[in-house]
Amino acid sequence: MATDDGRLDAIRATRSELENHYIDELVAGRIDRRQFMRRGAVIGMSTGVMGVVLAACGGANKVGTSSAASSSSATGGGTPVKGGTLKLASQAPAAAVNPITVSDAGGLCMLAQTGEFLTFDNNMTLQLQPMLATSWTHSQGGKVWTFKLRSGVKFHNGQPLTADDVVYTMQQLADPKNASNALSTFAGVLSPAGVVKVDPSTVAFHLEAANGNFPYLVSSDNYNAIIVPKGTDFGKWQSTFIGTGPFKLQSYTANQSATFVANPSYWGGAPHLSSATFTFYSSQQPQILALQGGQVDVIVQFVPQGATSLLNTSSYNIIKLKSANHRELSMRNDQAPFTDARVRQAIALSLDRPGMVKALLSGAGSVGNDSPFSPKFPSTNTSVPQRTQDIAKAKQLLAAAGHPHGFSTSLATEQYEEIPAMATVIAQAAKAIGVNISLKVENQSAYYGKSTFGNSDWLDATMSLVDYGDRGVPNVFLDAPLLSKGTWNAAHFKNPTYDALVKQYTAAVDLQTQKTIAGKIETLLLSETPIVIPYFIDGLTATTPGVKGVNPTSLSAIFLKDAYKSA
Amino acid sequence: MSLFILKRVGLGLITLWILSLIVFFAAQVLPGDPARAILGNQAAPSAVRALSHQLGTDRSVLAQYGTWIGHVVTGNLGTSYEYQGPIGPQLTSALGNSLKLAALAFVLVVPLGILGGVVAALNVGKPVDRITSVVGLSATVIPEVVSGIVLILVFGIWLNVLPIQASTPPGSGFGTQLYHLILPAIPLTLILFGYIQQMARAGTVEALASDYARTATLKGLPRGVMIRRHVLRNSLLPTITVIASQTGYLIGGLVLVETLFHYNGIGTLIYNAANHKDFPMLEAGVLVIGVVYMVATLIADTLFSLLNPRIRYRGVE
Amino acid sequence: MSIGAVPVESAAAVSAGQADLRGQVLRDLVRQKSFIAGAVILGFWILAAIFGSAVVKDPSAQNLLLINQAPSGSHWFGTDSLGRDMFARVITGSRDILITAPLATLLGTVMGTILGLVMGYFRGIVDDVVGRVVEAFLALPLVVTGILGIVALGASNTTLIIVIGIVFTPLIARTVRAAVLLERELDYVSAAKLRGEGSLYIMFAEILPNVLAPIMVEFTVRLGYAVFTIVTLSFLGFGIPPPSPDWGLDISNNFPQVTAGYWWEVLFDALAVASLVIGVNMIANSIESALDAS
Repeated sequence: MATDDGRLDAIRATRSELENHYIDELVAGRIDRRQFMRRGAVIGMSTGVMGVVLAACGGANKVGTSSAASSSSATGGGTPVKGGTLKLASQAPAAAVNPITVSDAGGLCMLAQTGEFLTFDNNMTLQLQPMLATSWTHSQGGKVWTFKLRSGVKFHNGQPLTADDVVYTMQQLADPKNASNALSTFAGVLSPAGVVKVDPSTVAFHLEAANGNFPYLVSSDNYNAIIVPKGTDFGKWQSTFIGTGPFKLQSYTANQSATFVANPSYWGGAPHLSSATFTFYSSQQPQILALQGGQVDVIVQFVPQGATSLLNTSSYNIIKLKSANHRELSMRNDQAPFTDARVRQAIALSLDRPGMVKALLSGAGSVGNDSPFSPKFPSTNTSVPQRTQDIAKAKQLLAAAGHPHGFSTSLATEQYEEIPAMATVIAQAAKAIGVNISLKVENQSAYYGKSTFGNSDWLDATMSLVDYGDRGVPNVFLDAPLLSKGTWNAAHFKNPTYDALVKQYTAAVDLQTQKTIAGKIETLLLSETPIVIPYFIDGLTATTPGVKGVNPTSLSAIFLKDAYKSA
Repeated sequence: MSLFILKRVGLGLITLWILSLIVFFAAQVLPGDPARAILGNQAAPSAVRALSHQLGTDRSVLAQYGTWIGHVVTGNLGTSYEYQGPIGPQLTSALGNSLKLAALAFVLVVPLGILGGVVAALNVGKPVDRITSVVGLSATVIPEVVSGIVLILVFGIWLNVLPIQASTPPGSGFGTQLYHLILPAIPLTLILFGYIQQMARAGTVEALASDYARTATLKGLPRGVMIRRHVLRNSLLPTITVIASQTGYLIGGLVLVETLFHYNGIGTLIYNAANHKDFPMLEAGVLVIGVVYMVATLIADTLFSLLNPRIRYRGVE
Repeated sequence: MSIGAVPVESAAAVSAGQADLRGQVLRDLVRQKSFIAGAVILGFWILAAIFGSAVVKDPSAQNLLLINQAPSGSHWFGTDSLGRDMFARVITGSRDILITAPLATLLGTVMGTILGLVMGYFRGIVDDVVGRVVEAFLALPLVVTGILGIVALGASNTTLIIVIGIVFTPLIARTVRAAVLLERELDYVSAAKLRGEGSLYIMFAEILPNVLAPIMVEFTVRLGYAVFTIVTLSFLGFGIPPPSPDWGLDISNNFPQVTAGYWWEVLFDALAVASLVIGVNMIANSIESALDAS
């Protein structure tokens, strides 16, 4: 890499220690340009500075300095067409569209139409971008994060955006007394008292523990965290949809449809489209039929199961996003025969992971290595060897553990997407090593029960297979399902070394440290195998060829600021 | 007669009340709770508690029933737990969709069934009679899922002439809606055809054997005219009662066809409400079907007793 | 579902069911072509359920390398999305339904008969009260009963039997009640009352034998609907859990694949269901007309 040392030194002089560390890493080739952009964004380096650094490091500045979603591949070049209505098929919001309680795919997609976040996790480029915050810095080793707000932003009711609005929104979301779905992210990280207005355009977050990835926790990944005006009654929000986004509400009818129109006074300039109409569906097949029948232009998100007709043709533009969406098979570490790590490893070794990705996901996924570190996360340590199917070794481990002829056990799981089929694949694979698994496939509410220990098949069953949706950072996956005191610890895994490693990982601000600790966590999880994660499922969006510039997330939201329909 | 109807309406109301109690107590057995359905299965326990309190689902079950029945007697169907909005609009739209489908099925099946019955009756004992009877009766027991799948494969996929989803984009015209409902209506038609055909056949056979038919034949009235004038008129009424008695089934049993053809009807509404333990929505959905069922049986019984005066004095059947 | 539908010819009309006529009825039956055809179809599925697994491939064996294969010489009905042999699944898929359907019908018939006897015999306030409850259950959509049963008792064959038994009870009760209403006015009932016999004795020893014919007809007619209902419930996700082969469950799982052109994953299952219900129905109709004739 040809570097311009003079220019780099000039930049270094004005940068913080951590920023300089990343610049060093880049120069030394330990991180690539894309990772540099991503990590730089997290710690608050402006895209301009990063562009200069990259330029100084030589070569064409391929990453570009544009922060807009239009740099994404779906744009496909060409001149945007002004006006027109984009018709989208979306999963119907399963409940009221209330920013604080929404937890489903359809609902969060609605929030993202008119609402905006402090930061934007652009899933198309895998970069964290400024949205309502223009820059952010951290202090006290990642314990305090300070966000500078964009100026000139107006809510749809004309009111300007100020720090008070951000403080109000975030305090409501972090308040344990509220029915806030964001608590699953903020619990143990942020309490209402920690949200502090510094000045009218600056907000500081004083965290309960150092968190190196906090900017992701106020990004579009935390889909509840759209900024609403101070004093908003969340229960009534669905009648106005007031936010700061490029689109405003025209109409919303539960279980039927929603229409949004362009916001001409959007801070980033009016969107190309004049309106967007979402038709709600309760299942996937009719969405596919509607796309094929020309009734919609876009399917916001679909799963591979039952979508072979889309995946097998080239008549549609399929946007595949790497995601952390996965299934977790837990084995009770405190119940025989799974008290023995060798038994757990044997189960993990029995699986044909590439075969599962091909059959269960029609290839739209990537194999997992029994840890939540998906290929999507920059901190994932890829030097840890991938586990592959090894029946002989699995039998050997079982014999060594005192089960030369296998044993019988049971697995509880939920009726959700491809999971029942996956359970039969797991049972069939286990049969090959002499383990007889009987399946208990329940409807979701019966399976989850009260979601507390002793009242939930999910958490109490000997073997349990559950779904975890996508997240921008692995923190949630590492905490609740695996920490000794974790509230979703279906494996009943208790390992002090692991707990300590996760604490270090969470606090670590720089990528190299994160990667090192991630490697240790991955190795530990492989040798202990409390859980099996056979694969990660790609986020899938389908559009007709004429649709350009849509920016979906693997969480099933879609951002339409730069979208247009070419003739 | 009016006393008969009045008594029936009174008893019907009692039945509806018992139905609401059954649904209410049964709903207590359902797992999960509305707050968890809204917040997702992995929501924080504190958030679930807070939302349950907001929705009022943390109150005693009797208190919830009290609130609900209090609303109902004042003509208010209440508020959905899940959508945090009035139930009325969603219920009417779902019921409207189901009624459209049911109406189309009736429009298709009634003339076909009567025609089949008359043809069979005119050929009693001949192969035509036997074949239509066997086919018609077999069709009544073939599950909609089976006939639906065969229809989807043949007309939707292989021939590709009819749409296989019943829902149309918002704002579609009547014609488009009708076009999309053809395939879903056929499984319902098949189920009903056998009943109506058999009823029409029996009525026609009876009418043909009656005195006036014999007299008419003796008088030399052409067979066609005779059938139109006497036989049809006399076999039509029992057929109508059968049709009315099937309305309840049609509305109540739509869930499968709705699932198969992705249609937002009353069946789907009940299915979702039960899955999410949205108690007010579930009650409203079930009661609406109950009302339709009661009204249909009332019409059927009234017609029947009008035709057959002996019934009236034997009290309520 | 159509289990809510009344049988075409009111079974109550068939009230003569004397024991000495049994031989005549049987002779009538075997002379009917539709009875023979129905018995052959039913017999085939019973044989398939008992011996099928010994003849065909393992219906649960997966082959992730051979998924969604069209019918061929090695897989007559193709393979499903997990590479399982569809022919084996269709042949062995009758096992559970052939046990659950008769048991569910029996349960509903027994409960319905008891209720019907009580309602018809006592009339008055008992009839009115029980009648309201029965009516309310008739208006309860199958989905609701299905969800409740599965959720309260867990997904299993026993649950299916109980749910369908409950659904059938009011239907059969209504028919039995109508038959009892006619019987209770007859002389032999008054005679028994005069002898001072208890109500229980009169209901079960005197009236019941005389209403057996309509009950039998109800049973055979309901049997077809039991198959109908089990398949419907399985399709809606209230049936037995995977991986055991089951027609309704397979149709439900493979239905989304239909638009991708994998028709063989549902068609053969659907045809199997159709053949079984038609077979049972032919037997039911033959029994009904044989009883009618005598």
